[in-house]
Amino acid sequence: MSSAIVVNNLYRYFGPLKAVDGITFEVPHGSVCGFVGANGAGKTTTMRTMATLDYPTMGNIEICGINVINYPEKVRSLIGWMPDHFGNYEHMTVLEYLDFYARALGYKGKERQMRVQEVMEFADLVTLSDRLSNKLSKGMTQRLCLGRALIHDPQVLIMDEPAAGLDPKARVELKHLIRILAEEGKTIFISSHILSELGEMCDSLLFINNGRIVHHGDAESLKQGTETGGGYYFDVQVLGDPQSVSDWAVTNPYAEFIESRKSGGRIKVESQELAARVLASMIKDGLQVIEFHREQRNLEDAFIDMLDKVNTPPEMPKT
Amino acid sequence: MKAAHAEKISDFPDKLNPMLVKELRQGLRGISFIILFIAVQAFLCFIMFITAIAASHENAGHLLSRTIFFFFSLAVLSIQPLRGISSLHGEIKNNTIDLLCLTRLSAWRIAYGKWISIVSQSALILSTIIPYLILRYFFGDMQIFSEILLLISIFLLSALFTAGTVGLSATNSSIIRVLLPIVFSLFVFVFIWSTFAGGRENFLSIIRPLTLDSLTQTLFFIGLVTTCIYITWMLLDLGASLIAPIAENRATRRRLVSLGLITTTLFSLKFAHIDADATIYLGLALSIPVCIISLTENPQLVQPIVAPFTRRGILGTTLGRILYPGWATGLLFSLVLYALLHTYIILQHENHFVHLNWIFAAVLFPLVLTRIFARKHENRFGLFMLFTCTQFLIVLIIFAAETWGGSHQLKIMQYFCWIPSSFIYLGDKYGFSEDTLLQLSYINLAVYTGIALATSFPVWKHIRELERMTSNES
Repeated sequence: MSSAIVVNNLYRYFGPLKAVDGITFEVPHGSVCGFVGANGAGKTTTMRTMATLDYPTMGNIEICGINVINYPEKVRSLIGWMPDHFGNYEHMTVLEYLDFYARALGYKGKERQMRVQEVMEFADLVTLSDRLSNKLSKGMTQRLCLGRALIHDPQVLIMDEPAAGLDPKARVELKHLIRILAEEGKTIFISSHILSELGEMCDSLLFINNGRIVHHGDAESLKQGTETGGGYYFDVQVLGDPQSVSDWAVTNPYAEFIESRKSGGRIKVESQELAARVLASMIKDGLQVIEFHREQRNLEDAFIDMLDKVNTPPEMPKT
Repeated sequence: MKAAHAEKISDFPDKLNPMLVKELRQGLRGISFIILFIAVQAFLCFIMFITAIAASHENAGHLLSRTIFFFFSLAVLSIQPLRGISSLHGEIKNNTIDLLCLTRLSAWRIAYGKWISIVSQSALILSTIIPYLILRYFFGDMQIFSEILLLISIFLLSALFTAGTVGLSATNSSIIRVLLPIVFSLFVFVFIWSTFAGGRENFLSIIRPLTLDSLTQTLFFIGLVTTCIYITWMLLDLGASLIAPIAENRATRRRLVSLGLITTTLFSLKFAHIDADATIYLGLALSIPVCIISLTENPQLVQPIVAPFTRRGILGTTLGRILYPGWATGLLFSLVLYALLHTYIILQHENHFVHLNWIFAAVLFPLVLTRIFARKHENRFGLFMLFTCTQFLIVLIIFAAETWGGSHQLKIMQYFCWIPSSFIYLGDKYGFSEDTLLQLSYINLAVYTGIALATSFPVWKHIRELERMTSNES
């Protein structure tokens, strides 16, 4: 599968601040890629540069094979951009708002009307068409913004924190729309703080920290910890005193006790091979193990592990 | 039935600039325009009614003319331009400028659309004034041609002032963006008041030159219209430059057009044997706006801008030295304009070198201050304007202190001759001979040019590097 997005050795400095510090990655056509990082990690700067809104200090970006720096106009016709925050216009209805952007994108006459109608239907905005755009709820505004980004039917959609500030219902609606777009074959590059949702939606995840990519892989491998080296988590249940699991773990060099549970506890081991040895050792040491099953980490754990691993402070001012 | 809802949006034809469509949709619903429009109509109806009652009075027609012009000028010169204050800044503040930049709208079309929507609303006010002028004709004592030209001139000035507020609305500095237009608007109000409410003679002094009886009056009017159009374009281009993405080159066309216009104006007026003094000052008036914009441009260059120049080899890159965007090339461009005006003065055997030197030094002075004290500041234009205002303010304070503070004997101003604007007052009363003043003006100009050139070296290094990379890639 060829790449819709190619970022090659990208640097963006703001004076002494290294907002993006030599990142390289590729996103295949028709895939959904989640972009994760703490505030100030360099997410928005990277996405703005991809969207031709910022200029790199060094490096290259290609969208569908077209260089972002040399041919920004061509790239703009290929991308849809949803910023993390934007204001709506006063005295302008939803219909007029979309019509304005359709005009600005060069659509005329019937074609313009068709495009506006299509995105209104897709983003469920038909019933809101006569509402003033600056009087919409956050969820409606995000749907309007998505509609606007889709007017020219872009191949690549770049979304910066689209779910931020949305209520659960609006979040589900947005996720549903993104899923439909992914099924249509659009490449979606999306940043979010809600990692569990990204895990459900995304084919791959990119973790960025202090302007550097610290991980690029799929959500499954992250949860299992195989790529990050975060270890394997096991739920251990025993008959008798649950405290016996933690007492045993203290004496065993291969198992790390994580937390107590009703009938035992949660432990962490470094590899699958060690897990078998740990189980054998538990039984040998007299623990009455009735359940020993592997747990998947949630993405938040994986993210925290990742940050611990690169040993960097989690909070930085937003670039 | 697919386009059922979208069919409702055919209120404006496709050919119109999308920004104009948007702004008109918003603007015509805006309360400020509606109030202004109705207020002007209500006042004029009332005044017409009063005048009709007092129709026997010998000055009734004249009074009506002045009243109509007063309200029209107030609406389109003082109030309407202020609506441009937040136009581009509103888009920047709301983060919608990014969304606009991603469409096919260029920065120029965005700024132009903002401007034309306010101007078309002013035109709407103008069109509603015409019936009152027709009615006014029946009261007699009307110079119909002059009054129509006055109406057109006021409208042109309104377009110019609106371009000013729209152009400045792209700056970050609220002093430049808001305070400056409001103060200017107050001055305009005072002028309108003194002209139209200050008696018949004041009004006639405005009307008389517009009879276009002589060639000078006609040329003056044509000059006024041309200058208005040029400065309007320049101000809108300033706004467009401030919001344009780095890859959008606005500088080259602006500089080429300005250079062409100034050269044509100077030499066509020379061959038409028009007063040399007036021509030189016109040349300066046309040069200063483009110099200011060029000296405040973002120096960051990208390959797509450099490529068309490098393709033309050594000639292209040499031209690029004065035509690439950025303040460093703007400095060389300003020096080219200086050389052009200097040559013209020599050819005319005139002696305006002191004026030429101090005016160019006054333009370079804020650039030097910016380069020394605020090198990394992003708001170059705002700072430049603040330093410009400051230099004139310092000189004004010294002048005031000398004139009214009893310190005239101290002659403080001469110690501030390093501030170029002090040359306005340095003259006979300070005992400077013409030669000394000329030498001082050259020293002033040379020092500021030298400092500005020295601080531009890193930019030139970057330009050469970029040219080399672009040539290699192509």
